[in-house]
Order: sequence, then C-alpha cells, then structure tokens
Amino acid sequence: MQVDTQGYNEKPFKFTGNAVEFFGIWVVNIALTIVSLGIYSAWAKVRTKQYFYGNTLLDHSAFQYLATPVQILKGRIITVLFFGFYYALSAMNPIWSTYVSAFFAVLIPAVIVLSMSFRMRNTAYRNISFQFQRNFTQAYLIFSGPVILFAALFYLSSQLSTEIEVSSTLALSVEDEFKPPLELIGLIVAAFLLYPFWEFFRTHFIITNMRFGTSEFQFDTHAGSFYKVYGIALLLLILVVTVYTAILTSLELISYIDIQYLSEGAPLDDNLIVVGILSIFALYLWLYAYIQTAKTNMILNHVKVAGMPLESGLSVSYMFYLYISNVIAITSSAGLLIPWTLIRVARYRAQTLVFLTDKSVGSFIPQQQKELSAIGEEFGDLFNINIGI
Amino acid sequence: MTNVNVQGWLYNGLNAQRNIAILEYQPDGSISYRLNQEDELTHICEVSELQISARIGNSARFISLPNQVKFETEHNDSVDQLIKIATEKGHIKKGLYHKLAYRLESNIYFVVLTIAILISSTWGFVQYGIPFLSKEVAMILPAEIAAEIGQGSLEIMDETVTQESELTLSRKEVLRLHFNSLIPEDENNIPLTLVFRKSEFIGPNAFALPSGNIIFTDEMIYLSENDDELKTIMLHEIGHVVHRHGLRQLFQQSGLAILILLISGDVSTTSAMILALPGVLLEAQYSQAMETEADTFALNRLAQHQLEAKHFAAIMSRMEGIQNDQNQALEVGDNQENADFSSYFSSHPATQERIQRFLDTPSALK
Repeated sequence: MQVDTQGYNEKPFKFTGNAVEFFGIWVVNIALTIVSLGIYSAWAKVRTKQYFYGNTLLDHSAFQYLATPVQILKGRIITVLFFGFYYALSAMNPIWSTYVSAFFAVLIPAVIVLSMSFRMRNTAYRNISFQFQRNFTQAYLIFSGPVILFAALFYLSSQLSTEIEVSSTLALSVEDEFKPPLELIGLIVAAFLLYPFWEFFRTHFIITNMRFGTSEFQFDTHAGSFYKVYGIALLLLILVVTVYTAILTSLELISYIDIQYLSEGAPLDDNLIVVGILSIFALYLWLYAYIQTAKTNMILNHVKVAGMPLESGLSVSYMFYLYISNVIAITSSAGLLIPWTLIRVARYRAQTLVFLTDKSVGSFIPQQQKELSAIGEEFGDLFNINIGI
Repeated sequence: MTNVNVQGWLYNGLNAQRNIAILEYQPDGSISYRLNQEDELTHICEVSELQISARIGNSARFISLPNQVKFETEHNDSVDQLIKIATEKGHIKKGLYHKLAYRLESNIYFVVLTIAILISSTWGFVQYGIPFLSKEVAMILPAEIAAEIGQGSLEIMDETVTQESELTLSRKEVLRLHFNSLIPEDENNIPLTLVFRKSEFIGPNAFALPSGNIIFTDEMIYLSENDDELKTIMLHEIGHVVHRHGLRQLFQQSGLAILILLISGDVSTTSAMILALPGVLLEAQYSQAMETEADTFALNRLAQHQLEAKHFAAIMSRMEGIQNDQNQALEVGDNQENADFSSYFSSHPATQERIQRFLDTPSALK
C-alpha cells in the first residue's frame, strides 16, 4: 500500500546490535541458565530483551525494556507450579487432567490479554510506556467465536447428513458403499475459508487496544486484505507445484535413461531423492516467507499511531534468502549461529520500517502506571501462544 | 579527581519531548545537567538517587532520575566510569551483578571456553546420555508394560501392506519349532510370537515389533536356501525385542525432540519446522547402533544353537542384492513407515559392514 507521505517526516527505524557482541550475551545466558538450574533464565530473558530494545532506534532514540528479572522469575515459578500440578493430576487420573486442560483452554483469552498488557507496559520509548487496554470481553468474544461457530456448523451438518442418509435408505435401500465424510470435508473447507476473516478480527483487536502513552493505535483495513495475502499464496502454490511436478517427471525420465545405459542407478537415485526433499523444503520455506512477509507488510502499513502511519517494505525474496540461509547456518553450526540469525533479521526488519510523523510527534503524553505481574506473559510463553504482530 | 560528563537524551516524563543534554557528576556526589556546553549547570540530585540500567553490550543505557525524568545515552564507557568513581568515593554501593554479567559476556576467553564446554557436553549427551538413559528406563519397565507399547502396529500393517501368509501349515509349524528353540529364558522378557505374512510391497524381510511379534514375510522364507539362515535372522530379531529397541527408540526420539526444542526454542528467524532435520539424521544413527546390538546378540548365540555366521551373511547378501534391484521409491517409503519395525532396509554401506562382521566370525562348529 502506498502511504501518502505529504506533510509527514520520515523517521526511519535502525538496529545497531552486532552479532559478535550478542554472541557473548547469548552464550553466557545459556551457560548461567544451566549452572543455576534455570533460575538465571529470567535474567537471561531480560538481558536479551534489553539488548534488542536498546539497539532498536527510531529517530535516534532507543526503545527500553522495563520488566525486571524478579518479575519474570515470579511469573515463571508460578507457571511451572501450575504445570507441575497439572502433570501430577494427569498422572493420578487422566479424567481430572482433561478438566484441567479444559480449564486452561478457558483461560487462554485472558492469558493473551494479560500477556499483551505486560509486554506493552514494559516497552517504553522516549520515557513513555506503551499500554494495552485489558478488554477481556472482546478477547473472549474473538477467541470463543470460532469454537461456537464450528460447534454449531458441526451440529447442523451432522443433522443434515443423518437426514440424507435416512431418506436415501428409505428411497433406494441401496447396497453399502464407501462415502467420504462430506460434512467433515465441508467443515475443513469452511475453516480455511473463514480463517483470514478471524485473523483480521484478532489482529484488529490486538492493534486497536494498543496505546502509546494515551494515544490510540488505529488499524484501517478490512478482512479483504487478509484474504488477498492467502489467495495469492494459494495461487502461487498451485503454480509452483505444477512446475515442480513437471520438472520432477523429466528428472525421473533422465534417471530411467541412466539406469538403462549404466545399469547402475542406485547412486543417482539417492541424489534425486535428496534433491527432491530439499526442493520440497525450499518450496515450503518460500511459501512461509511469502505469507509472513506479505502479512507483516500489510498489517504494519495499516497501523497508525495517533493518526501517523508506519511504512514497512520487507521484500519476499530477501526474507526467503534470510530464512533459507538461517536454516543452513543454524543446522550446519549446531545452533551456534542462532545469535547471528537473530541479529540480521532484527537489522533487516528495522531498516525496512519507517514511521511517518507530523508536527505533533512530541506531544504524546504518558499514562499513569500500575504494577502488573508477569504471570500472564510467562503463561503465554509456556503455552507457546503467539500473538504474532 | 575530575568530573564525569555523559552526553545523551533527556526526557522530562511529562510528554515525548526530548533534549540533547550533558549529565555531569561532580566529586562531591552531585548530579547536574546542562543543555549546551556554554550553559550553566543545573543541579538535579545526588548520584545515589540515580537508577542506572545494567550494561548490555553497547546497547542504549537508561538512567532514571527523580520525578520520572529519564536520561538515555549510548556512551556506555562514560557511564561505567561514573559508576566506578562514585563507588570508589563511597557515594553509591557496589553492584555486583551489574558488572559481572557484562564482564563475562565481553570476555572472549570465557565465551570460547563456555562454548567448548557446551558443545562437548551436548555432544556427549546426544551420543551417550540419551541412548544410555533410554536403555536404562526401557529395561527397568516390567515386560507387560513394555509389550503394551506399539500394540496396534501389527493391525496397522495388516490393513496397509501385508496379507495373510500362503505358507503351508506344516512349514509354519517347522519354523515355529525352530523359533521356540531360540527363545532365551529370562523372566523379564517380553513374550515372543512368530508371525507370518505375505507382502509383495515389503518383499523379503523380517521385523521385530516392540510388542514381541516377530514378522517374517513369505518372500523372506522363499529367499532362504536353508532353515539355518532363517534361524540366524530369527536370533537377530529376538535380539531387537530382548534389548527393547522399539521402546528405546521411542524414548530416544522424545529425548532428542526435547533437546532440539530447548536449543531452538528462541529461534524465530526461520521456520522452526525445518530445524527438525538434524533430529532425523541423529535418529538414523541411533537405529544403526541398534542393528549392531541385535547382530551382536545373534553372534553371541550362534554356537549355542549350532549355527554358522556365514548363513546370516549369505541371506543378508541375497537380500541386499534384491534391494539394489528394487526401485528407490520403496526404500524411501519404507524408511519412513517402518522406522519402528527395526527394518532391514538400512543405508547401504552399513549393510556391507554388517555382513563383513559375520564373515569375519570364525565358525565355532567342528
């Protein structure tokens, strides 16, 4: 999307961290975490966050991560106790553990809200904290919506299919034949069709509840933008798979000829398998890069802070290159290059992001702060809830 | 003693306005600021009232002043000097953590040493720790529980790739008698059953399921030139069950999965799914070790059952020959689907080594 830049000043983001420096931090974090049996992990998390925030500059001012290690540690201890309790229960009686799982599932929307709230409160820029409105009602509506919808659809479709079955047995009483579970396929298709719609609502909820000081965030787009990203991804997938299949067929033809002439096909076959597997991995990564990049750009380009827009210009092919070289770097270094990959991705993301400000940029006002515990965020981390913006 | 000057941004805490400012520490312990070099100093507070964030590399440093005022600077060395002098003068207390973490992180020797220790201990854990722990746990479990694992495998095979055996009853009976004579006596053994199945898809092969079912395909029986050959294969498969390889594989896979998750847990820089790749390679290595263990089991019992090592080598070579003729599609499918069945379909050079091992074993028979 093109943002009208008239009357705005372009304020670029910049990331100043470097891989060598962060490597030391990362290694010491791992080592001290192991030596302290996990306790240092809270300090490790804070130091990592502070490093990345403190090296992210917008118009020469850095971001600041405010949470303290003790806050994080408390959240982690309580979360670990919860899960310990859960495992103890499930070891004693699997039925109880289902109840506890159901209880956890019910908590998820609240956990997301608390987690976002903690994260935003502990992010500051120019001495002003971000905020997240703790709008639990909205959270529960958005996260229970699909569950209720699909329960209803499932109920309807099962009703419908029994009716059809009854009528067909009455009318024809035909012999048994294999019927694909049509209602199930229908539900899956419905889920795919409705997912972008739901993702729009979820993103809208997250962004519009964010605040910088007292200033609101706007998200000025509609579900169509999400459909566009996934629609293009689907078309590209179909195109690439067609081309890929054609190439594979011709390669198999080549290997067949080789066997005919050399009567030793085995080594070549192995190479073909490797090439086949690698190209499927590459295809998967490329699709992943496309969806991630297109979605991030689309979302960020529709975010406005007090009316002032962001502009994100990530390139799909560069992100694909980053992803694939990161995989090679991480796997061939047994994980040692993880810090380097974190730094280069942060650098690229920052250098493609611009904030367009007007004269009112200095007029943001801080909001009164209250202490908030880290339980929500640590719970969210353990559940691996990805809030994803 | 001189004054310490630090340049940076000053934020008033009332709005997002900022000013370039110079913060100055004076030997009497007071902190003042000025906006320009020429300006007069304005006293703010005592150095003991400052909250200075820990140094993390060269990332921006934040100093909290009274009344929500904040100072941000990239001049980390000046801040460190300020802390050092103020500590020496007794104006502020010694903060151990502030310095310690940064000193370790920026010490090249410490970082290199730590890396060396981390790599060797991870390697040791993957190479010895995981297999050892899996073995210990698998062998401690009572036979009944161990046999529970993978109960449904045979049913799944019957539904997908195998059909009923076409061997005659008497032939089956003879083979069962052979088999029963080979079963070792040990109270914590999983009960062993010999099962016959026809499978064109799998071809000549034999597998041990964790539940104690040992499957021979009809094609395998036809491939053999005498029953001694089949008995050596039976011993190998019994070795898989006695050593509880199915269960151990399960534990090893879970152990690896957890380890990979721990290492790659914070990796957001690529698709995490792709990072499962090294796990697959390590698992292949583990299953090679198990084949060797089952071979050893068979080798150790050959003499006791009046068998010769060359029989195993002979039938394996024949299988190998057949496999090389088959297309690679089967092999790939097999490695993925039958990973649990301790299949004979393993990568080529290893099979040659295994055959050689049996050929090198001198005959114990006179």
